[in-house]
Amino acid sequence: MTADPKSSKESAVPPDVTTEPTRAATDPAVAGPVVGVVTPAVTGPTPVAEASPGEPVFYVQDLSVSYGSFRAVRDVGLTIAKHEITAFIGPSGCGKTTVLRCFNRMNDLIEGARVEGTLRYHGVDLYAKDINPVEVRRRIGMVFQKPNPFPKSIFENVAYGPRLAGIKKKAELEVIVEEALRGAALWDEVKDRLEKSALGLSGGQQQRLCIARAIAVQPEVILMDEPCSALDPVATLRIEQLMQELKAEFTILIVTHNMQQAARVSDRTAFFSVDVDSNTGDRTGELVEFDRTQRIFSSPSDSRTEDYVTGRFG
Amino acid sequence: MTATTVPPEPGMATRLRVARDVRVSTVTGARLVRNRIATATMVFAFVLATVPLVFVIGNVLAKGGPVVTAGFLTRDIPTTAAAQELKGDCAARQRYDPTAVCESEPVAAPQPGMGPAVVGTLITTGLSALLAIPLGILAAVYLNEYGKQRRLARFIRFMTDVMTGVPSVVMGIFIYTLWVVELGQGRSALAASLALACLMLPIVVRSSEEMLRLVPDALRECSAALGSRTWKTTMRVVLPTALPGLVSGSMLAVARAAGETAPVLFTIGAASTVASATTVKGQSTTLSFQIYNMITNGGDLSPQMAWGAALTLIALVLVLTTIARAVSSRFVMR
Repeated sequence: MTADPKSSKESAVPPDVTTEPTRAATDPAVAGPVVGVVTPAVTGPTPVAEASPGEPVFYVQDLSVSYGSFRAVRDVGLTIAKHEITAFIGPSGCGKTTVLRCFNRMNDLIEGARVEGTLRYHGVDLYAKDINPVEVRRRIGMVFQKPNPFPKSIFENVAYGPRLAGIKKKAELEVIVEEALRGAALWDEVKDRLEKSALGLSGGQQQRLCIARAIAVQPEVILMDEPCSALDPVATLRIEQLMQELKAEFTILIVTHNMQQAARVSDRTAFFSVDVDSNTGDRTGELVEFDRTQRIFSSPSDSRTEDYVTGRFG
Repeated sequence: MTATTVPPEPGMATRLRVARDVRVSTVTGARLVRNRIATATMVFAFVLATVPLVFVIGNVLAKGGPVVTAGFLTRDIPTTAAAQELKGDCAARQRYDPTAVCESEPVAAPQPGMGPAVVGTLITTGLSALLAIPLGILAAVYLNEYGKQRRLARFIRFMTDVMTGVPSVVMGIFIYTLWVVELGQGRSALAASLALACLMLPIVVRSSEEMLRLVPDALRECSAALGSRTWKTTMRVVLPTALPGLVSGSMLAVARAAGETAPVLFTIGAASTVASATTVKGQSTTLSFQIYNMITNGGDLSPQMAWGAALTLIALVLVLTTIARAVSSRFVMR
């Protein structure tokens, strides 16, 4: 058993995992608390009682998602605690993103998508008949894989959500926008060009703008779907630092392909895998293991998790 | 590298080897010839395609240019009857009596003018745009944002395609029988606008739907994730993002309507003074109608008036399109 990912680094860990911390560490500008932290054992994400996580925000049981007749994920069960960062990791096509999109009912927007099982948010079934998905999304924000600001000014991008929520006074909006941009560590870079197009920002800035846009409406939860996959290591580290800061106020769920990232930022990790039906060849995602990040990366209980985090997968 | 690797058969890959010197061209023989032929064909096709355009614009400019003056654009249309009479009197006399001298030349020779047609074109085109563009864009929003692949949406899409293929004269007959005759509304600028709007509607719907489809779904998702309802997303994200495309599509429809003659023929009636053409409910006239009129009812001034009207029409559409583009670009952020 290879408990320490470091030792297996040379063998088969995906390239981004190995190169990223090294490159980032050479850049003094980004040297933050997370730099150089490779194993969760060193960082010590906020210690939580292992048996009982903090106040639960989400309770998920037997969650399955199908697209038409294709079952993408089945029987997912986990509990998400308040003010924690929960990472979803796993190989491509294992349904991490699909599960993530259940939490704010984004799958509703995909034709033919069907969600079964239980998903409770503060005890309320999000998929009950009388639940308006718009109200769900108002409380559970999302940051997408590709930074995709609206073709509007930086100000208007951040003010979009608050405007929808009915805030019309310019002065009020200005306060909210500044607060959100500060929260996303972008204020100093854009404060002099708020009226300029958001599309003129760099990729990393655009993604932070999207985070600012998401936190501007004061959601309780932020879902992040591979928020750093389109960014360079420097921008990635900024976002990771930001997540640590945001954790105090928000509950964060993040899908990532980057195991080191999961190890660096998350308190808990859910490992998903693909189960291939030997008869039909159907590929269905499933949750293999959900535990404290430290345990997932140091002493996972499932051999598939161990194979994956040590790079011996597939 | 495993031991089981089969060594490649010699001679197969060597055929792909080329000279190390990159200045040596690897494109030779038949491929070179094909390349040249293809290039020449494309250039020829391009030139051929621009010939009619250049010819038309050149011809209209040459013949209409001298006619189009400020006066031409504002003067009333000289009635063909009056022009004929003034001219015809003397000519008729001379035919019977070659020595006859036309002592009383017309005091004021009729001057070419297209004022009523300019006013009428602006009114009917504007009115039909007002009717068809909002309706068409809303229909496109339904199709792309709400209806998607539902049965009703697919039916509407199909009917719109059919409507696009309906000849414009049919639209004219439709409004003529329904509005002018059945409902007894009579010929008017409004009736012509209705016919033109029928013509524009499918064009606006289809082009707008294409433009809305080009708006990335990611933006809709982002907006939804911020707690936005579909109509808010449509109003605040989708339509502003698609605006330039919507304007282009609408202007294409406007240009089409401004140039149409057939739907106007039976619906607009006639007007020869600027004052009488400045109306919605009354009879009016348009540039396209006047071009047709001038060619079919030959008077002395008719040919140059027709050319003048043609040039005016082209310029008018160009100006409208330019203004629309300029206005829409002010709202777009890139």
